[in-house]
Amino acid sequence: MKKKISQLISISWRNIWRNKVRSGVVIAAVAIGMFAAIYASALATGMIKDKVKEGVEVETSFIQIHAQQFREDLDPSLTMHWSDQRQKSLFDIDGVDGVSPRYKMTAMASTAETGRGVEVLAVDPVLESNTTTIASMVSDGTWLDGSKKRNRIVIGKKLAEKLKVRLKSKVILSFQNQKGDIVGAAFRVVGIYNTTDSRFEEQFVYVKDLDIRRIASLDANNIHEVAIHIDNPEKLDEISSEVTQLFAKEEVLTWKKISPELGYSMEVSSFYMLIFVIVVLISLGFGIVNTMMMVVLERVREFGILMAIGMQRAKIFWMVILESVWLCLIGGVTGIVLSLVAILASQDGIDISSKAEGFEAMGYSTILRPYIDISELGLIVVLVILTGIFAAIVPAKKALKNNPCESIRTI
Amino acid sequence: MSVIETKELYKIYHDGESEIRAVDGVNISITKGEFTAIVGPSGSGKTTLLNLIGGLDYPTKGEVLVKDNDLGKMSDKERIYFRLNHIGFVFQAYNLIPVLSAEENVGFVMELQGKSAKERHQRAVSLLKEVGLEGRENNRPSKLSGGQQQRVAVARALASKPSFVLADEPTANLDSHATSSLLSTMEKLNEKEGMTFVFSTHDPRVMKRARRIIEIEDGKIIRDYTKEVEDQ
Repeated sequence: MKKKISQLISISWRNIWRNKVRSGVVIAAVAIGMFAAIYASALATGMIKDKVKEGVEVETSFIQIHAQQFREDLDPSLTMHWSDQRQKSLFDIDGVDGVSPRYKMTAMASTAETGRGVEVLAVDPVLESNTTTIASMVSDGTWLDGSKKRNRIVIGKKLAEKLKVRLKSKVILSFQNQKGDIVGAAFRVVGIYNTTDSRFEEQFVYVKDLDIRRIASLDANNIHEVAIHIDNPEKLDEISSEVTQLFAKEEVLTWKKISPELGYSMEVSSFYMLIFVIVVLISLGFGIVNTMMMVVLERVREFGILMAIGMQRAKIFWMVILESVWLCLIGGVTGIVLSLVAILASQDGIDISSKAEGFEAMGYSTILRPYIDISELGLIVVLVILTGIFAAIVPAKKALKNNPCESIRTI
Repeated sequence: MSVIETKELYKIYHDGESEIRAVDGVNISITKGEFTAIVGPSGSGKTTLLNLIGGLDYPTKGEVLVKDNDLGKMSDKERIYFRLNHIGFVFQAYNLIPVLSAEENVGFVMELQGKSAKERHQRAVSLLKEVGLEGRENNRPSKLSGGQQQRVAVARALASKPSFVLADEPTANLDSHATSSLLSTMEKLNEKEGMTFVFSTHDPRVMKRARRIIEIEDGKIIRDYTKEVEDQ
């Protein structure tokens, strides 16, 4: 059996090189199609991955804890108990490397000219910078820990443009305290952060927890949320369940639940690539059917002779199938190698800042870094082989339609 | 004992309302070691008869018995298997697998039979030597002349150790020198190994060297004689 398979593999391999130009064209078409599909998907996946990474690292962090119902109602009175002991219990979990307690409230940010609704995150500057990367995103001025003075604020670049403020400008924040009274205070802009997500930049402002506590008469032991950073994203579910055990009365959510669109993006990105590759392979498949049909029609006589001298129809069928598989496989592997080389070559990122407005508005980076999950390449190779098989079924059946003496008579 | 026997063999084609009797009630018996030519003009039915004897086509009526096995009662798969082990073929032209060398072409049928690489190599080299192609084992068909290709085809036909060899107009595309050389090769194999050869031909050079002539016209045998009898 093994010998018979190796015989077929060997003959089919030699057969594809009978007409080098024709085989070369098919291989090139498959290679280019695969390259285009994989590289374009890698760009899209890279974009989504960057968006998710930034969404998690800058915005939500990996796990959040809130009082029940807080996320739905954003009611400032829905607080959770916080203490040094609780903080320590979180740090004691293996894999937790950042914990940031926060006050979170909706507010009106106003200047002399205009105003906008924002969400205020009142944080301990040091703990926050250990939990999210927002501090490193400050492109103009400093993060909150750079100033010992009261009422300092860090705002997004987009919001700064909307409010028409610069560093050192004053912004009035008005918000509701836990009693339901409207309170407000003037904050000095000390830093402007710049992310790839202009919606986030426009929505979130950062102030010190001490300032908010003082202005809104908040208690240090009652906060709105805790953001938790972990050292290994693969351990997310495991750590999340440990946190849930410790904070059984509160709502513990992973980033996938906090920002389902980000989680969904990650899940669909690999599916998206698969669909893309399948569509390309189907269209290439039609071309291969045509080529294999030509190959078969040219060799009807030869197939007749093979049957006459004792080669079973099934073997001839598989010989034709293998020829098609070879063509697809060589083209597919070439396309994969080319796309991997291109992906590696563009790891520094492709700058598409000329289209920045649209991309940033959707929360995507304007530097594209293609990304591919190597484990998915195996599946692509399987799909390429299946394309070769399916594309050759009709031609291979046609090759065996006639009886040997009819085939031998064919010129 | 007959190697090949046909009994009331018919092959009838229908073209609209008309009926074409390509083989019309043929009864022949060929014994081991014969060197037989089926001759007749174009369209006389000699190739059709050869196809029926070789199990490449199904008769409309009648029997083809090869070593007492009725080819008409076999399934397609059984017939292919039977051909592999009992019948050697030499066709008019374009006979060989172009991507295989002369040795690989000869070894191909043995590979289909499941013979070992060593056995294939030894027999292929020996057969190629026997047909005068020593040193050409690694040449692909495109590097061989028409006569040499036909000799490789003869070697391939013998490779499976068949009961007989059927050759359909084997000299049709050969010049006189190549024809003579090919016929000498086949005569030698017939005399030395007792291999049965059946040709279809209208080439007088082949007819001259065949020992038995079966003349066929309009699908019917009109004359069947052996040279010795004729010579007497």
